[in-house]
Amino acid sequence: MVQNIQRILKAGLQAIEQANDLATLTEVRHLYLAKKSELMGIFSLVKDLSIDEKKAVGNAINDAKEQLTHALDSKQQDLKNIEIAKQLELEKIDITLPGYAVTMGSRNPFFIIEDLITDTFISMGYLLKEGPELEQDHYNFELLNIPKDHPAREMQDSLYINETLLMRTHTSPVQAREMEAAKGKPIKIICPGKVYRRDEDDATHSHQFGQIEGLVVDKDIHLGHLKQTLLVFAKRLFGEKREIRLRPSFFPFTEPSVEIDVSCFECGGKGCSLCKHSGWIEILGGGMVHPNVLSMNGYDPSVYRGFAFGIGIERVAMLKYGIDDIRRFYQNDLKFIKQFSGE
Amino acid sequence: MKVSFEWLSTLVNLEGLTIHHVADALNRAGIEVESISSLSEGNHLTTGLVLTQDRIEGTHLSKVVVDTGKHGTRTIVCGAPNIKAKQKVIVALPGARLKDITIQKTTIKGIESDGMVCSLSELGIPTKFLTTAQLEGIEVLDESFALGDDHVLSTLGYADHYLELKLLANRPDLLSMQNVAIEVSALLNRPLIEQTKADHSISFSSDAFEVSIQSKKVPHFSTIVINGIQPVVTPTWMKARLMASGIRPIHFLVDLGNYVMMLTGQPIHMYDLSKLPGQSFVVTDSFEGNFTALDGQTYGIKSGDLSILSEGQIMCLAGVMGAASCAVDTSTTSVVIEVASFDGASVRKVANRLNLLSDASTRFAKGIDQSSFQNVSSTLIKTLLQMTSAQSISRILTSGHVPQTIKTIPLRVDNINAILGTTFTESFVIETLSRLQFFVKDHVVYVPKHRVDVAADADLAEEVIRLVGFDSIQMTPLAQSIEQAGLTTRQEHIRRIKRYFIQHGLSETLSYALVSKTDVEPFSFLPVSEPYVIQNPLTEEHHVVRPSLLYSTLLTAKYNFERQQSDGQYFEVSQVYGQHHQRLELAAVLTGQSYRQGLMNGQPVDFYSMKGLVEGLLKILKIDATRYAWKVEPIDASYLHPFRYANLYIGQEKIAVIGELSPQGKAFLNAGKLNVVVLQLNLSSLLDLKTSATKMSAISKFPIVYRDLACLVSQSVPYQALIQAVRKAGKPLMNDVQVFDIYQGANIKEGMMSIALRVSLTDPLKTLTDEDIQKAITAIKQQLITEFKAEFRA
Repeated sequence: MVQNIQRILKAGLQAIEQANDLATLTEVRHLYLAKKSELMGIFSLVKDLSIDEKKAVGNAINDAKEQLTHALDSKQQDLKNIEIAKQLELEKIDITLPGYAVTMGSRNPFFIIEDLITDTFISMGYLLKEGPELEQDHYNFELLNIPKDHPAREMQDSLYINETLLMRTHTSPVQAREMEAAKGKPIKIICPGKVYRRDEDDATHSHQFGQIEGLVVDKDIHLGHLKQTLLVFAKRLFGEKREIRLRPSFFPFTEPSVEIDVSCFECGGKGCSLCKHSGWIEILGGGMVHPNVLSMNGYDPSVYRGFAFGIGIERVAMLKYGIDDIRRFYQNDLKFIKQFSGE
Repeated sequence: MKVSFEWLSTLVNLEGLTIHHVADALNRAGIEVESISSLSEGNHLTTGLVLTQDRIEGTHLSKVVVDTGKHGTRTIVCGAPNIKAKQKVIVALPGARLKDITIQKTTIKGIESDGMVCSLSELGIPTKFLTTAQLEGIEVLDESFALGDDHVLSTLGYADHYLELKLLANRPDLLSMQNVAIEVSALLNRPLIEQTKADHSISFSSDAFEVSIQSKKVPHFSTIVINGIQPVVTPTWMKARLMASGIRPIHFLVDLGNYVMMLTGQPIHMYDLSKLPGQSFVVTDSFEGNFTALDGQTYGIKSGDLSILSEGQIMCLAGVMGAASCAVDTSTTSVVIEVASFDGASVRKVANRLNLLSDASTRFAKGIDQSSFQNVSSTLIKTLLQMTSAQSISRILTSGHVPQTIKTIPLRVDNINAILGTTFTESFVIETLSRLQFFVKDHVVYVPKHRVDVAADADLAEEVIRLVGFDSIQMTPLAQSIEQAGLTTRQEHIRRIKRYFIQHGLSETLSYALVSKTDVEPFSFLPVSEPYVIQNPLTEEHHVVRPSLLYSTLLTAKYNFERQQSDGQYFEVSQVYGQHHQRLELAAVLTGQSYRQGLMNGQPVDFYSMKGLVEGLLKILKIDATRYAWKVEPIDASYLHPFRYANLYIGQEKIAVIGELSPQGKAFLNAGKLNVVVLQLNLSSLLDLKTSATKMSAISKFPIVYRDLACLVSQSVPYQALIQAVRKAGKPLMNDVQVFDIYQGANIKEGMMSIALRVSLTDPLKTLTDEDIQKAITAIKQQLITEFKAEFRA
C-alpha cells in the first residue's frame, strides 16, 4: 500500500512538473488531491489495517499530500510569474517619447537681472524702494543739483507731460524722495525701475530702459566704501575672479564721480572683442553724493556723506547673456524669452 | 572735441611721446578718447612737376610725363580732368599704399603707367573738407614746392593724427586747445610751451564804432574793427589744423575766426564793415521778425532771442549765426570782429529751436571763460598779422562786465581725505593741484579761471584723485546694516505672484509704457481715467502714457503668433498711470493650445484656463472663496466674448476681468481662429487686501463618507447656485461637494443637462450611521427639487 502511495506520489510530481499552464495545473491538483482522488481513496482503506500499518500508511499519505501540495503551490507561483511577465511585456512602452510637460514659464531677462542685482544688495542690508515713473521736475532735477538751464539737462533730453511733470529720466529721484522722507537719518537703499529718455530706438538705445539706483548716507562714508561695495557686486554678478577699476567721470549729483569698469568676464582681462581689447568693461556710474544734494535734502554735508551708483539693467543683461540688441527686451519673442528658462 | 596732435605738440612739450600716450593719460583722467584717427593716409609719396600732358584719344585719360627729382622722370596715365603741364603735383610711387588702394606699375591703353598723380581724397582727407574742384581733380601744389619731397604730407601739414574727445558736461573748458594743453601737461607732467607774445607794431586807430547792450543776457561784448586787410589764401598749415579739428576751411577770415575759437574756446564772429548799415551795434532781446542767415535760410526771430542789430536791421542771431547781408568773403577788407559772451541757456534754446547747433553755439551754450577775452583778442590780431597785413586796428571796445575775481576755496586736506578715504599729506595735495594750474597760498586754493566746474572741497578731491588715480583708494567694507533689510510683505507678495504665474507656464514679458494714441483705448476692461500725453514725443508711436496694461501684453502675443508661435502664455506686471488713477496692474494672455506631451494631448485654452489660474492665485494669497465672487454684469467691451467673460469682485470692488476674445477682438489682433483668453487684474487693490494667517484646523478622525448624486436640471442653472444649495442643505454634515460629470445632448431632454455631483459628509464627533447619511442626502435632493426643479431618477 505504501508502495502504491509512493507510485502515486511519483506520478503526481511528474504531472506537476509537466503542467505548462495554470488550467492544467488545476486539473492535476484535482486529480491527485480531490476527495475522490486515488490518494484520498486509500484513506478509506486505512481503517481496516493494524495499528502499526495504520501509522505507516497514514504517514505515507500525509507525506505524499504535503509533497504534492508544496509542488503544486510552487509550480502555480512559477506559472503565475510567467503569466505576469507575459502581460508586462504587452505593456511595453517607448521610453524615448517625451514626458508629460511640466509647464514652466520663462522670464524676460530684464527681470532676471533686475532681481539678481536687487537681491545682491538686499543681502548686503539694503532696503528696496521704488518711486513714481511720472516724476516732478523738482525730484528728477532740482533736488539732484540740476537746476533749470543747467547744461546737464541736455544730457538727458526728457519726455515732458507738462512744465513740471515728466517721465523720470533716471531712478535718482528716488534718492531725493527717500532723503526727504528719512529726515536726516542714515539711508541704505536700492531702487530699481523704468526710466525714459527722448532717444531714438536702435540696437543700443531705447527710449525706455531699466535702471537700478543705490544710495548709502551715513557719517564717515568715503569713496573706499563705494569701491568695496561695487567689487562685491561685480563678483556676485560676473564671477569671483572679477576685479574693478574706477575712472573719473561727471554726474551733477555726485562729486567726485566715477565710472566703474569690471575686468572682462569673457577673456579674464587679456583682451577680446567683448571688451574691445581693453580687458575692461564699463558697467556703471557712481560717486560721492554731491554736498549740494545732501544739503538740499536736509543733511549737513559737514557731518553726513554718502555714495550713490546707478546701473543699467539691460546693459548688464546684454553683457551677461551676450544679447545683441536692446530692442529684443521689448519684443518678447518667445524664441528669445524661452532661452532664459530656469534663470 | 577733435584735438590735432601736431597742434597740441606746439602747445605742450610732447617730445618722445606718441598720440597713444596722450590718449591713455586722458582716458585715465576721465576725459574719454573716443577714437584716434589720421587726417590722411599714404606712403611712398613724393612731389613732381608735370612736364608734358597729352590726351589719350577716345578716352578721358591723359598721358603725363612727370619729373620727380631724385625718383626720376616717370610716365603716368592720369584720369584727372584738371591735370596740365607745369603743375606741381603729389605722386604716389609704385608700392605706395593709399587709403583705399595700393599703387602698382601697370599698363593702361598700351601705355606703361609708373605711379599715380594723387587727389587729396585719394590720400584719405575727408571729402567734407574738400572743394568740388579738389574732389574732381588732382591736388595742384604751390609753385614753391621742391621736387622729390618724400614728406609731402608733412610739409602740407596733412600727416597729422587727431583725438576725438567725448567731453563730460562739466568740462566745457576743454573745447579749447589751450586748455587741453594744460590738462595734458598736468597729466603727463610735461611743461607747456611758452607762446610768443603778440606783436602790436600796427597802429591802433580810434575808429568810432559804438555798441549798446540792451539785454541782461549779455555779460560781455567786445569789438575790434580792422581796416585795410589784404585778402590772402589761408596757409596750408592752418587749413590742416582746422581739418584735424573737424572744421572745413572756407576762406582766410572765416578760417582765422575758427582757428582762434579752436585755440581759445571763444567763438568769434566777423561782420564785413562795408556791408553794415551803420557804425554801431545794438544788442537786444526784443527784436521780432525774419532773419536771412549765412546759410541762405530764413528764420523767424522771436522776442527773447538775442539779436545784434545795426540801424534796426538784424546782423546776427547772437551766438548762433550771422546774417547773409554782412557776411565776410574773399574780397572783404574791413571787418568788425565780435568777441562776446551770451547767456548760455538763451543761446541753447534758440539753437535747439531753429536746429542750428554749431561749434560756436555749443560753446556759448556751455559757457565761455569770460576772463580770457584779452588773450583772445591779442591772439586773433597776432594770427591775422602772421598771415597778412592791415592798415589799422581800432581800440578794442568792451561793453559789459568782465569778471576779474578769482575763485578761492579754503584748503582742508582732512576733508579731501575724508571724502576719498585716503591719507594724502598737504604738500602732496598742493603739488598735485599745482600741476593743473591751481595756486595754493596760506591754505587757500586759487582756482584757474577756466575751471568753472571747481567750487568746493569735493571738486578738489576729485581733481586730486583724478591725477593720482583711483588705485590709491583702499577698499573699506561698510559698517553693519543701518536698518533691518529685506523685502516688505508687499514686495514679497509681488515676487510670489510672479513666481506663481511662471510656475504655471506663463512667461514674464516687458513692454513700452509709452504707446500711440490709438493704442490706448480698446482693451481696458477695468476703469481708466484720461491718459497723460507727452508734450514733446519723439514719435507718434510713443505719445501717451498707457493707462492700462492688457493691450501691451496682447500686442506681445500678436508679435509671437505673427511669427508662427500661436501657442503662448504671457503675463506682465507694471505700474499704469492716468490723470486720475495710478495702480499696479497684472495682465495675462493665453493663446492657442496647451499641450501635455509633445504636440499630443493638446487642449485649447479657454475661459476656465484663466479662471483656474486666478482662483489658484487667490488661494496662495489666502483669499478665501467666500470673500470673492465672479459676476457677469454687462461691460462695454465688444472685444470680449459676450457669454464668456466674468468680473471678479472682492467686496464692492471689481478687481479683475477675465474672458475669451470675441471674433471682433481676435480680428483686431489678426488672431484668426486662435483662442485668446485675457486677464486684467488690479494688483494694487489685491495687495491691499488683508490676508488671513495660515493656521492648522483639526482633522476629523472619523471617516468621510462619499455619495454620488445625479440629476437633470435646466441648462440655465448656474453650477455655483447648485453647489451653494447643496452646501446649505447638507449642513451640518457637509464636508465638500464637487462636480464630476456634466452631460447634455442625446437621450437628455432639450434644454436640460445631467449633472453628477460627489458629496462628502462627515461628523467631527462620531462615525456616521446609514440613517444620518440618508437624512442628509434626502435633504439635499429635496432642496434641489424645490429650488431648481431637479429630476432624480427613481
